[in-house]
Amino acid sequence: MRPTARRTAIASSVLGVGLLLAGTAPTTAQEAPIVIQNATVMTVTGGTIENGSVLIRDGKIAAVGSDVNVPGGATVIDGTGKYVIPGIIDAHSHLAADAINEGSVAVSSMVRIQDVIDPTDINIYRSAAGGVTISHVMHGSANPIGGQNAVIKHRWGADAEGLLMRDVVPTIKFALGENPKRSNFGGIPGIPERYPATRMGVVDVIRMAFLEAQQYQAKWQDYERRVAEGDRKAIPPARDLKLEPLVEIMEGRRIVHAHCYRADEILQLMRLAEEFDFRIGVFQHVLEGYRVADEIREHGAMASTFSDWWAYKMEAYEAIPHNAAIMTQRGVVVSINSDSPEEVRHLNQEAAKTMKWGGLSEDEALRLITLNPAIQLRIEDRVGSIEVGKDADLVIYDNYPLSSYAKVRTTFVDGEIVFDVERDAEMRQQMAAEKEGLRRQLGEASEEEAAEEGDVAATEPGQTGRSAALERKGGSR
Amino acid sequence: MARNRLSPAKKSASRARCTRRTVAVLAVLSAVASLPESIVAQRPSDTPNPPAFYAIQNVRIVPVSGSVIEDGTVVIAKGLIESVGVGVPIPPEAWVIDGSGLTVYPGLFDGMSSVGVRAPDEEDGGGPGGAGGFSFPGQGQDIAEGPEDRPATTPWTNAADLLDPESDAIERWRKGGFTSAVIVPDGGIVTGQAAIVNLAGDEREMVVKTPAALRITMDSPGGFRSFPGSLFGVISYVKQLYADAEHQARYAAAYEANPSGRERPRYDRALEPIQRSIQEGWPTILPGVEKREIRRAVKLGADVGARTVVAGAHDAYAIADELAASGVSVLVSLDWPERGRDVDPESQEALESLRRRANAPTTPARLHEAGVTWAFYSAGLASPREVIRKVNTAIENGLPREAALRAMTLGPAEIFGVADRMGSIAPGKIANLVVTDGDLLDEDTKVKMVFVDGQKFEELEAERPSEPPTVDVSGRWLLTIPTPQRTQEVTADLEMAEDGTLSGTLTSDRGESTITEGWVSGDSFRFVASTSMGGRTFEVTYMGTIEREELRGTVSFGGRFSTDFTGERPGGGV
Amino acid sequence: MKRIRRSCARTASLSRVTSRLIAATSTLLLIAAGQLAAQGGEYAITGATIHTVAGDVVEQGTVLIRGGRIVGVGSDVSVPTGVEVIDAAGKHVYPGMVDAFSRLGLTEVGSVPATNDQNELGQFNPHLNAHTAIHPASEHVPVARANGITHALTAPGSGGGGFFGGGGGSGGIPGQATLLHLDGWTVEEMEIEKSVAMVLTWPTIQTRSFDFATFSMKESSFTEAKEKYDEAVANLNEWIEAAKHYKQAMDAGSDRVERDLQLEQLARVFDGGLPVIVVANDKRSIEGAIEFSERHGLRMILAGGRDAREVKETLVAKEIPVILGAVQRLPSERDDPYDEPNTLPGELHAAGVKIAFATFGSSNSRTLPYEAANAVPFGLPQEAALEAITLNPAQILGVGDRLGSIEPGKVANLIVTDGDPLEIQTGIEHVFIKGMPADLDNKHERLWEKYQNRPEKEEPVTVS
Repeated sequence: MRPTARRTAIASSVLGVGLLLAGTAPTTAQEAPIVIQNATVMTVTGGTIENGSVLIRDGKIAAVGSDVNVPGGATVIDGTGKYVIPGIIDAHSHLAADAINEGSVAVSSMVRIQDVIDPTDINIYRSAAGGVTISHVMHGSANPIGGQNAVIKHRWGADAEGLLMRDVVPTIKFALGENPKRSNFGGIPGIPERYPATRMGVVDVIRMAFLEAQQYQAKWQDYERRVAEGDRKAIPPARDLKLEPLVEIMEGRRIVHAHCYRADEILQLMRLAEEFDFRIGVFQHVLEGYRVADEIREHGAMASTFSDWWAYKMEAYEAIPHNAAIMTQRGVVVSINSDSPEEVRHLNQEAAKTMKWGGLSEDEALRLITLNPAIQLRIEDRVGSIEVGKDADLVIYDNYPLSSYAKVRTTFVDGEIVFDVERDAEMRQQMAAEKEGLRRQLGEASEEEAAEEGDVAATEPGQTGRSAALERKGGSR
Repeated sequence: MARNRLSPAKKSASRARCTRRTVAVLAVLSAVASLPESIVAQRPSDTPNPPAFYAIQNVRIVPVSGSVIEDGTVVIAKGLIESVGVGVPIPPEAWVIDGSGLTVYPGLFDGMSSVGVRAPDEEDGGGPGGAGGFSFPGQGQDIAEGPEDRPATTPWTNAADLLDPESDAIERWRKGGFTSAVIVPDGGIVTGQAAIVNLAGDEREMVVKTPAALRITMDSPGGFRSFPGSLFGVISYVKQLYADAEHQARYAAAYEANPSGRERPRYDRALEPIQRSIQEGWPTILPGVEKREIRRAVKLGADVGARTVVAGAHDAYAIADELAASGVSVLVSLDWPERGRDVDPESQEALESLRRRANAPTTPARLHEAGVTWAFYSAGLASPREVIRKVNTAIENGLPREAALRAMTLGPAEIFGVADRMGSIAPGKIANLVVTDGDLLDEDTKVKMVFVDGQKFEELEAERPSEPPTVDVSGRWLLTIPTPQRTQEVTADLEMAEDGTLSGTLTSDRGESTITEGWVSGDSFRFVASTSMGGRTFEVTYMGTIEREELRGTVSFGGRFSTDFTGERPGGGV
Repeated sequence: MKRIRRSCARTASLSRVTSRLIAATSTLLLIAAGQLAAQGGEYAITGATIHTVAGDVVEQGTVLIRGGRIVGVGSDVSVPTGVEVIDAAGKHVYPGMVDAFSRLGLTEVGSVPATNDQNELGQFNPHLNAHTAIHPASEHVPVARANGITHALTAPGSGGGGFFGGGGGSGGIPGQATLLHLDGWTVEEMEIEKSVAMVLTWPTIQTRSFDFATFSMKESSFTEAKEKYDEAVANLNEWIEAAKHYKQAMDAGSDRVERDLQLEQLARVFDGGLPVIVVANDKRSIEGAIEFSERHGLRMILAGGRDAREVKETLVAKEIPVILGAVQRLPSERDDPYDEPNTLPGELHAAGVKIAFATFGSSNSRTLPYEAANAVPFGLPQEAALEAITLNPAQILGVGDRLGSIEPGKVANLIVTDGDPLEIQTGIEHVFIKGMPADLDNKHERLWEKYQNRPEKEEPVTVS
């Protein structure tokens, strides 16, 4: 039964709650269209539409504007007084990973975040509750050349493969300055120090790695040439999982995201990259980027920074909250990132700080956490703004989003609700009931719980244990 | 069959143990065994060679590979099962055993174990980070600077070469009905090759097949300074290792065909077994307990082209169909997750943990329903009794009894490619059998005898004085055991039957254990329980006397250490 | 590479920036005037909406400041001649904000030990006072001040020097906290109360510890952790008992007890002396701390208070105020509601607990108002949020008669803004501390000024 334009709170879908609770992937297929009506729609690329609507169909944005027709069978969400923005993209995250650093070696380009995604990390959900729909999950900063990063969508409940965003230009982490220097195990008796220990050494390590990668690249090119020439005896060179991604960098097939602080190290890395004829994609943190904004722009790099963190270490002592604004004003594509499972929950507020410190406009501030990180991850054709044809990654706020009073009501990823305030409240009850049921099943229920057993067993959401496990299995397929 | 006078003394020694005549005989022969073989081989054995032919008749037969025979005969000849069925002729050589009231099963087969496996020798410990322990991570260790240093990689290590046939554990597990196990080396990333062994005899007799599998863990070798220091480091390393092995094979062949003008391949003993494992399709054991770990193992196995066997699998209940589709085999750890023993009573257990505890024991049922090839493994459980108890948890959670039995007999045989020679009672198969006085899966059932390679091991009742008890020890006792580290307190909940048979549980901060082999006679008592210390499990034997509501005696920890203990009733008795 | 041109939206924001620059300039002029007028100049802030916090909001009102104090507040206050007038038409006046627990002045660069003076060795240092190590020229102070933080409590921490710092959950007494104006050439000029409270860190039961063998967190025995906890609590009790007896002897004029600085200072907590700020987060610790404080007759202020909602009735009944830990933190347990940190302040307030916000930091002290604001959409009334960073902390720290609201007779710590100071985009235009206009310039503004004026490079470097 599909009455036209049901004006129902989508949050009351018990099935939906069950799916979220059970940790199974939300299905995207054949959902009824959703229309968010009468909201202030901040599209980022097409201005802000008062009393606007967004139509979501098949996980995509199907229409945006002040005059959107509600198709039959659509679920309508009343957005009166509410704001809609594109899903927030965190360009620097360490969520949802079972490993962050391979710190034993100075070049750890062989390790991949995608191999260790932890889909059970509750912070995937918590940050979705802060409006985040995409995170760039990065290797840590223990090495001059770090590991391969991954881009995930916050499809809470999906498995590792389901979280990973497909067909994204791969990225890799580099790190300059204090972190790779001090991750060298200095001063621990019995453990040899790891080279490098200075900014000179950091650049040397990167240069050496690329020289090695050039040789590797040449070996493969030679092999491929011989094969092309019909040499059947040609033996492929040994694969080197460390050097392969470096070759990809030189061939423009992998984007470098370089952790950095000081202006000098930023400059040095750009010049090194130019030596090997590639470009640094994005400088991460880049707290002194404001000092070399022109050079960053001219090199062709972008910048992903913090809003107002400073003074936690020497290389952050000259950080200023105007950094994002200065770089933006000088033509660098800038994003504000979290690098933290907590900070990521209020990136909207962090973006707002650039309006206070540095005087960015509302649109510019909003871009810092939506379109710009999308550009930095080369996914701006799919996400980052509210435009027809893009993924329906959207956030509904109860009030003005660039505010310390902002509160997320609903977050959509690919048109699916991954967070909703009312649904969350139901999930809490269900979780309590499930816990109680499981404790009973395990014979560990407290006396009070045991006394209530009859009552709870009869209620719908309290259904747990083995029967629920079997049901979940049915539900997920 | 003529007695083989030339049988090696060591062999005689192990056989002598079958009869369990006297400890003295064993001691003497063990001493002899250490002499050069050439001397003792000349000398007639002091005991007759054990029988090579048996017929168990009037016995209930559960062959696992066929339907149950309520009253039949199993004939064993020279280590193999000769015939099985109703009214099969009993050969004249056979020693006939009346199996009335008894049931015969295939011997239990532990899908993965380290029973009887000693730690690899230091010099055989492999690359940096290999087995051998460490203090502060990386301290004093060799440092691996990359995959080329082959960290913690010992694929040449074979569990069969690490066997200690004299290990108490072998006897303990055999007594409980286990006749075979897949044994694996521990420690490192690529720990080495597994072997299928029978649980009796010397090394040459025990090994049924090796290499039976390659075992890989995802443990980083410890310490961030040595590569790989992380989970994704390990994964990338394993991939590099397999790529290197493949390249090495290809390059070495090309080099051999035409060495002139070519750089010679480097010597790298880690690569050859890896390449063989792929070419010969060895089962490759990869760990995976939680859902994402299982998927990771499946993916890694597929990426390197291995025939994957996932070990652990507690969350497999949630992805049973997916596993069935992937074609991997699964070894289910019987060490079901439990709530921490010593946790803050005010702390709330997380939903995830509750779910895992509630659902892990449904995994076997779900794998069975989904048609996955799977088996159980003992996963460090202390005793066969514990194993049976945990198997029953799976049965309570929906696993059919036959499937449970299969998962400890034919199941592992199938996974490791020896179902043609073991795992069920069928003519031609190795005569590994367990004879019980009831359903093997009932916790009260006693193992009456075990056949390994056709050799009979009979469990004689532990010596127990015939005098009836003069005191009743039933009820709760608080035992105080001064150990060198600290004074251990143990609560004993004892229950004494009229004939003096003692049962019950012991509880301490190390957990709870069940009392076995307990009795009271006159004012004396004895009972056994197991405890784990420093990651190892010991049988602990308590014996002493009861006087005026006080227990006094000695407690022995696996024969390694003993001390006096006392016990009293809390608050003056029950 | 093509330069991305600014959108027309830029014009609006630029004019905003310009107006702020003008505001800053006028502040500088005021400072000059203030210096001429020497200590205790006279100022009138006129035409503003005055959020007194103590009472109703006054529209179109005037605040008259003389001799460092507020001498008049209202819509009918007449401005005497010769008074420096700040025309604040369309602007708002609020009490200056208080960071109720900070490290301001004790640390400069987190990872550089040489710049840190907050954590002394040893677990029991009741005789130490943050005041002793305050660095008045810390760059953090003007940064906080520029965003309207006019005074702050600075507290010492404990467990310095160890490999991982901290006492491993064993608690202790790091020393005395000081309450400072965020302006002054010396600490003496900054000082409000040299010793405003004794800080005590309550022990915790730590069953999760770092295992060096596996380099990961591991769960250890609760029984053992509980034993350690009980020992640590017993140790705290011993200190307090020792201080009590010391005081008893000293008060009686005993000459047979040697002077003991630790006990002498610790004894200040008795008989309605120094309040004790007890840092405690979990329910067990909070309950333990309450029982402890009651037994020894201490005036307890709870700091942290993560699980305070579970004991809110007790806190109300015993009139124990709470200096809340960060609102911008993660829920403590996996299964906790996502908004558990956000709803806590509102729930405590509704129950009748007096709350204050704090940053427990230094470089981030300026974010104090946003901590408070983040609790508002989750149930804390907006006025209560404002009180919790102005009047409440003043009252909790025993200076409510002098600070925290805009009332005649109070010290003139106040701010002039273009809106709600809890809102991120609001600009702080003037800050008065001790009745004097404070300098809003700081390291960040200077660097911004300098680098936004870096000449643009004319020719892009061409690279292949």
